[in-house]
Amino acid sequence: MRTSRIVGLSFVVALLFGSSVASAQYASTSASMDPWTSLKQDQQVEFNKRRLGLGLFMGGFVVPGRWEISNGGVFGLEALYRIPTNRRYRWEVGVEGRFVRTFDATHGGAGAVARFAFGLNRYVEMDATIVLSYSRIGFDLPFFASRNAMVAQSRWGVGLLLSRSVSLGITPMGGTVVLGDHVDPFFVYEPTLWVRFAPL
Amino acid sequence: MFARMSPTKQMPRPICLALLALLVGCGAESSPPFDVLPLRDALRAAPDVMANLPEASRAELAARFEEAERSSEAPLAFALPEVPTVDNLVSSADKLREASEKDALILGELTTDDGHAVIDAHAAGDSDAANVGPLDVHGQADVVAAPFEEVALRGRAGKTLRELATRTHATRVVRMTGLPMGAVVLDDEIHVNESWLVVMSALEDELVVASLPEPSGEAVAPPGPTPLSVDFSPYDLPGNLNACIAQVQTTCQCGVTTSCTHVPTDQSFGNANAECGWVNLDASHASAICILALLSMDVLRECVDSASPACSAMPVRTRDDAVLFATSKACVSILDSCLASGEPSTTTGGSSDCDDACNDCKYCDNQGNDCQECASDCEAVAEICEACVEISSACSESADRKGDKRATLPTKYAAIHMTSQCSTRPRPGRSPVPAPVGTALWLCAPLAYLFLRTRRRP
Repeated sequence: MRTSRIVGLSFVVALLFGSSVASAQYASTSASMDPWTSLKQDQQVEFNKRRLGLGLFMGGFVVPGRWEISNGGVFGLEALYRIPTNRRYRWEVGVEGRFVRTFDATHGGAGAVARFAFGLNRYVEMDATIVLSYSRIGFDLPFFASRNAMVAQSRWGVGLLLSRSVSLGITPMGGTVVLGDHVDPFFVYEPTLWVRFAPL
Repeated sequence: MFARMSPTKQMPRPICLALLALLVGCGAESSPPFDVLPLRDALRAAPDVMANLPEASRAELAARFEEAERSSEAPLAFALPEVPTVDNLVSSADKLREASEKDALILGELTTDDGHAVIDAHAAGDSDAANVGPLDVHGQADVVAAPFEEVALRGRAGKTLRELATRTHATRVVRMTGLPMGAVVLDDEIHVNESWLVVMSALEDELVVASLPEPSGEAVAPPGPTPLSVDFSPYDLPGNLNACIAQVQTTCQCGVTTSCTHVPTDQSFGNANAECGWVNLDASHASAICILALLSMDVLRECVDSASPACSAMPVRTRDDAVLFATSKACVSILDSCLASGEPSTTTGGSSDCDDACNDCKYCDNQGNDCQECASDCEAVAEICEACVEISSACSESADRKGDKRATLPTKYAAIHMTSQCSTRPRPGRSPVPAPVGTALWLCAPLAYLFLRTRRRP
């Protein structure tokens, strides 16, 4: 039930996102035919130039196939240094803090992020991300001690540029593996919604 | 600071002292007034709490204990608890005393027979017999209380215990805590309350000062991050109860040498030494600690609750409940099944299952017709099953004729009980592919569209 709600919400967001991008693209192509003018106004190019990235994300924490582990939600913050390699491509490296709350446990952790982002057009870019982090898992029940875990994630996301410094997007494909001390390794599906800022 | 103030602004010395005394009073942890509370409250308290009482309070309490020891009372009979451990027997006896408005019994002897137990009060004598040699008390002593205990055993409490051992022919003395009696004899063992010994030390001339706990280290660490007696986590459950028992017994070997530094799983124990001492007393106690921890998890508790036939030892809320659960093979089997697969083992209506179930306690009523009862039970269940299949096929045919879409959904048969009617209900629609893959495909559809639309045109 919880899983279906999360999936349903993600689907609606994806549809809204797709329709907004399509309409924006249609409007931009009809408004200006001059390639140089359009290049000057290319938000992705401007967004790509900036060196500091800050982000905030939230989403689902869905554990398939493990009856003893409850689902929940994830919330996180990230700060990245951006290295443009091309007019539309860039690398990002930095740190991330994440907080997971399930029905019976709380995870808090921090880790390193490496991301490759590539622009598809002036409004849309995709990214592939790898995160390695360390988490502390605390259980609500007093009978069980807190545990340490390593968290490895890979994500694929797509974002819409709202301006030259703000993008909004989703990460529909987010896979996480959690393993550690007294933590039998398990896979987590983590679809997220995010907003990223490039202030500098 | 006061010296630098002008004479007019200086606070008068008596006021300063009063404020200082008030601050000290606020900072110190106030202990309950055990010297005026019923004796059972003091006996139930942890030994280290008793050790930290002011000397005068302990002396007053010890005088009350001594007075209570001398009272002779008639034996009291009561029903044997379901699990006749020392803890349960003493608690049952004390409940009866409390109901009749009597304070705790200090010295007593428990005897059990078929279905009944008797607590016999032993009044302490005025014998002047010498306290010859050290009294060997088994089990681990509380670190703070140990010096007090040694003094008490060399003094009047030691003499009392020796007299009790002589009268009852007890051969072994074992420590206990948390029970409302000073010392109780069961079979050939004297179970002596450590808190009683700590208090009785106040009657001796030797002065003992309670050692303060270490300012740092695991003893004062918060319970969460340190390992517990049950060293599993909800993310790494044991495959079965035996795996957990083995781990707890291994962990609790430190209890033999009173060197346990971990945090107790059951917080009602004062420390891990007390918990491990209890675990080492009986083989069922390790499983009880495991059961207490595991059944605190909602998923496991719900799993055990949903078993059919149900586990009679549910719910498990206390240590005693857990001991009762551990003694039920049927309940342990259900828990093992839940640990293995997340689903309880169920007994279905097939005759072959019934053959196995003849050993089930449900039919073992000492009337000599256990298997006959089982067979008739099976027959009834089989009839219900047969009727269920007929109804289901009839429902299915009817649904096909009507062309109802719901009929195309896979159906599952509801659990069949002797008292419930057979019914079918549609199973919620389920994708043929696993949930994450299906979700990913759905989410990818609009993205694929987006990607195609946004490709750069030539």
